[in-house]
Amino acid sequence: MKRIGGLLLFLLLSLSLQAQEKDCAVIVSHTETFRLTSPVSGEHTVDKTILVNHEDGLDAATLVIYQDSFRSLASFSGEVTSLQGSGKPLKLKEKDLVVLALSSGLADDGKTASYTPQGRYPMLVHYVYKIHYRKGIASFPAFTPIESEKVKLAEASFTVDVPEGFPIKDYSHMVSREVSTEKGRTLYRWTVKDFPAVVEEDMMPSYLELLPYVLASPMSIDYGGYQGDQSNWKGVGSWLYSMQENVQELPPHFVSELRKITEGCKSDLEKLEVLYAYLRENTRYVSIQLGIGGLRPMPAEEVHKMGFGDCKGLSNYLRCMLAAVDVPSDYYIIGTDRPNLVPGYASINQMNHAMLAVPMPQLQDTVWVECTNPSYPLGYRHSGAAGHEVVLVQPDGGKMVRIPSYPDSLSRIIQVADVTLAEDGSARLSLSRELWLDEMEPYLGFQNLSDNAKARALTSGMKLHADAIKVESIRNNFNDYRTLGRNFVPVIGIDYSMSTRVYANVNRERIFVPVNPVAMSIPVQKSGRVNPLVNEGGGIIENRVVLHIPDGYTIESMPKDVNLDTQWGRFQSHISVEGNNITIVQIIHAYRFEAPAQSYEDYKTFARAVNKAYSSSLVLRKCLSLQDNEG
Amino acid sequence: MKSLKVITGVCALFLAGAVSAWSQSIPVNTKIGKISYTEAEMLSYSLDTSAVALVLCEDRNIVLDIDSYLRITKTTYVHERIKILKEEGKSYADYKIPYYRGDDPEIVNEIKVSTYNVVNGVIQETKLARKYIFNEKATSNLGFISFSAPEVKVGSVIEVSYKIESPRYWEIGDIVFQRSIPVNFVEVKFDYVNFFYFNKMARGFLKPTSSFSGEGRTMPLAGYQSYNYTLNKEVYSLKDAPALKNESYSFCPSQYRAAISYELSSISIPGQVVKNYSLRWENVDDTFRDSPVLKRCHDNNKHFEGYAKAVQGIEDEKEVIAAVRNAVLKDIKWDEKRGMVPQELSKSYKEGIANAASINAVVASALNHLGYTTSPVLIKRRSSGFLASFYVSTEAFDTFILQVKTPSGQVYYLDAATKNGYVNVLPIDFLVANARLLPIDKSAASWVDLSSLERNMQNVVVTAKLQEDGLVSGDVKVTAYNETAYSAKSYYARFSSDDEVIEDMEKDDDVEILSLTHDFSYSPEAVIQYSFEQENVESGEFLYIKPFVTTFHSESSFRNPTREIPIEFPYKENITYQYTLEIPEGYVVDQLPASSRLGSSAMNSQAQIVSVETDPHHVTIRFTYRNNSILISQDKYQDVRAYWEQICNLYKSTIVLRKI
Repeated sequence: MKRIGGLLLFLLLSLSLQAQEKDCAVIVSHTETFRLTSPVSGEHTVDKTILVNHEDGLDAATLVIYQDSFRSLASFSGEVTSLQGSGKPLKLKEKDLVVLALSSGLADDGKTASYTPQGRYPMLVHYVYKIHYRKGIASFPAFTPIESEKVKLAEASFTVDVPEGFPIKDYSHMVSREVSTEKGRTLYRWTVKDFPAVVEEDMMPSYLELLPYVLASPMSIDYGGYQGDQSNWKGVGSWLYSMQENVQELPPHFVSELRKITEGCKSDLEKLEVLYAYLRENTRYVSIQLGIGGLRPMPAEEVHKMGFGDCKGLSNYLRCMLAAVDVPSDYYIIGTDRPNLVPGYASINQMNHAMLAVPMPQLQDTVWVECTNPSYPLGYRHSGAAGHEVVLVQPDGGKMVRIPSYPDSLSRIIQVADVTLAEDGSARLSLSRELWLDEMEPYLGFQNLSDNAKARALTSGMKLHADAIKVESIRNNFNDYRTLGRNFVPVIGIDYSMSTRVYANVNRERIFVPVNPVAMSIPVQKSGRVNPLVNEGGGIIENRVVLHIPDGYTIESMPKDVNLDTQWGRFQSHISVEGNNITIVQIIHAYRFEAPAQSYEDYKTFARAVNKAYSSSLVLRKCLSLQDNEG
Repeated sequence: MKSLKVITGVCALFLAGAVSAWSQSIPVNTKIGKISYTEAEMLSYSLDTSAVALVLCEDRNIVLDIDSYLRITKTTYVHERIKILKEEGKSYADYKIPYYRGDDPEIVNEIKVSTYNVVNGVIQETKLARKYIFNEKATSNLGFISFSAPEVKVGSVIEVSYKIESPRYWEIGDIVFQRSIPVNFVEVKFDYVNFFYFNKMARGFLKPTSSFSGEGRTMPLAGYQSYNYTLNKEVYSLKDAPALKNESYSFCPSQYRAAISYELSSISIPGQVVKNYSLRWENVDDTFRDSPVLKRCHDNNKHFEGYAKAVQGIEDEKEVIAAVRNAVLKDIKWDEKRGMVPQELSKSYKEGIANAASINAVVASALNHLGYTTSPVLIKRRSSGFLASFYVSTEAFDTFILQVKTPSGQVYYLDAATKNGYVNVLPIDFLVANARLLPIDKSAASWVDLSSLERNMQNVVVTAKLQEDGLVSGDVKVTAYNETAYSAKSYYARFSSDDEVIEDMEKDDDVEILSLTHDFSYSPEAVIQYSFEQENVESGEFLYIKPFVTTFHSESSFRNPTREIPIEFPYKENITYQYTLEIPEGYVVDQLPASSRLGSSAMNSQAQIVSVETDPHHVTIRFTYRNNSILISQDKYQDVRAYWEQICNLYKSTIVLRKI
């Protein structure tokens, strides 16, 4: 691209000036083409121009190209031009890209080539690059022209160019599609124009609902030497299963050992419990994603020998152990980041994890086992799985099912405190915290934490300095699945005590006592709401405080009871008095909801009322007769 | 002719070494593979029952070797044995060993990894297969050897050994004895030919035992007669070293771990080679004088004439400095990187963007052109650890700022790149006690103290009025000076809009902020103004009003009951908060917060609250806080914690009004 001509410069500057405050960047043009050159190879070409108005829009112009053993960067060029000043472009070459091959796990064959432009704003950035695909194509590149907030799109297009008659499937959102044929090739083309910027806010819908994108892939798959059919989940499952043929053997002496340690078990559940405990004690999660190993599990024999594996390896390992003791199970794949798969579109790229499903007919249930973290209680469907659509990988193909979810009301935190308050504002506290369902997940490893780490976890968010924190007991109901089956809800309870020098503020004859020093306020947005409000999961937080006040004090002021019942949730705050004992109960039951942006003011009213109740105080005053005596 | 390795005995010494370390809590035989039942069966560590893992033993041998062709290599032999005590500790079985892979790369080899578990009363070894040792080529210069020990469970003993061969003999760096998990026994041997001379510095709260000896050797030099020399042997060991974890209010927590730093100061082979690196600070100064650091601070450019015209008429010297800085930043944008070596001035102007070193060089050159004598000041940032003036090192510094001597003789300091600073207002990470001034006229360098250049103050004035509906509304004006202004500007820079700032400010308070403006121009001040509304509690005849609309200390600071490392405050500061409430007819004051004074000798700090009913319709609450300390020893932590708690309690004070 030559130095920007005067007219073009004027137009771009105008574009910049016209951009609203939220348009930190504008995608001026974005063209992608994927040309299939053979069933296992192709070329992906990208040509994009981004106008960055402000530092907050820099993400839109930051380039990250991912490569691995199946795809590599073939060519790259670019230009960065500051529209202030001379307008002379800085030309970019491949050597200007920062190449990093550092895995987040133990090892993988991926590397990234990235570039972050620098310059004065507004700044025009242009990239052109090509990526070669080889050894297999599981899906065509996903087309996501907008990937961050405050980025407006002027125009973008994506073309998949395949031989005529080559079947593909696709799913698109907020784009228009056309199909044409020329010179023995079929061209599928999607376009989108003038798409406004999205603003990120709390409790907003998923980006998948707000942004344009295209997913496309071949109907048949030939990847890393494994062929299959990808037209539906049955085909995807068959293809995955074909990769698992030689990974299901265990050493014979180990099989004998498994049979020995389970021979006293009276049910499949008992066998699963024994082997799950074995998994916990003898294995750990280590991620190794090399080549086809990114999809194919590590052989069970290797996992056994090394004592580690990733989610695929560990799930396959447990499957093999169960099979050795005649307990059937299904390896399944899941996307833990979203509950619903794209409707009518089956592709391996929607999945990021593998687990194991073990049918328990005697309990009329299925146990969905998380093999990478065997501290989860058996029978519990964790927050990354409950309610999710998943695909069982079975010998006769894939089968889509949905893991049952839990009612929101079972997600609870219950905190009970018995507080003995002294005249100087100090207090001794005896507390109990119960965490139900997903709320207990952060506490699974609590028992193994150091005393300091336990204290930090328990006092996090408290508005006081705690001393002499002592955990009295930790309890759970993790064995209850045996009797409760699918009605099982895991609970962790922690009883602890502490003291604090400053629980209440003392001023002469008055003591100002916080009603709820452990409550976390609900954040409220100041700027005008743009997106609809979405709360994807409700729950209950219950705080009960029994406060024993010192002799000789009366209650001068007490917050009024609060009772709110709205579309956002229910909130109750109630204080009762009996002699020197004051009982404060505050319960919030947050609902799941979807509401338009205009209703945010109503939500704010609810949140503010709750926050006010949480931060209110009781005022105690020394009785006059005692004061006179002391005066 | 074959090259002869000088030190041939060391390898054998290392491999055969069966050092028995018996005086620490857990007796260990440090020979590879010699795991005792005590080590294998133990389930917790008596000196620290909360430890998730324990280093049973670590021995390291660093060998500086020279051959008959005077080629120098550094070989490091590493052996460590770790006991996994809890689930959390299993992550200590994962290794990523960094190595340099640029020109003259390092080689990591002879890697052996084993895990020992007790199975049916027998200690069983599982070795890691070679195919599970990975070589990651992260960048063109940096690689990692990654592996994970096999069969790791709670109770396992992991043993790892490897060798690193490196041509980078000048990098000995830090020998660290203490970690974030306890260390039962560690021994480090450093063997080097007496041609090498080092500066050494020990740090941390623990002192390793040490021994020094020498061994006579002979080396044939290529083409020359044999040469007699001494092999110096330095041995350090430490036992029962407790874990030292990171804590808040510390710029560089790792600097408190027991360690010894080595800096190569010279190589001297009699009759052959003499090369000095950093015998004294003057040698380090010379290195920088010969580098672009000094040269480019005294350069010329056509833009300077324009700057000279722009500052004509400005009398205040500080403003002249600021004006030149602003003019340069208009022409050259900062790329948010620091750097140590500035590029050519013409390149910075041509590209329109540069790192901080280059921008400082341009500003220095421009100021020197105007007759303001400007010199670089080399800094080791607080986040990199303290700089000890007795430990000479060429690697001591990681950036530089400027000292400006005005025509009238005033001396100021400036980091031109950062927009939140000003003349004598530096980034908080740069407020160090020892910085190295390198005068532009090449006269002798000296140490300067940047820790307290100006008075840092914050004045908050609140004018509030009780409305008829029981709400309190009012205005707040915050004026921050110097480093406090820097902090305020940096805080705002975290957010992309004023609305986001307000959301953060309202998070923990009962106050609703209605409007917000600020003046963050390039100056030593920051001014923030906002209006607010506050709900109060009314109960019968009483009305309770919280006079602290904003607070200055967080309850979450110093929450931990104990502390192992010193506390570092960002800077000394004074805060004044004055709140005036106008009370309408129909109310009288029933109670004001008690006037009180708090103090902490540990912190050299005082706080005070004074409540006054100035007339029947006005009350004033005045809070002042002064902190005169930056560094406080950890044995004073309980004092600091208690004092902090009391200050946070003051913020909960309440004015009680009564209806009449």
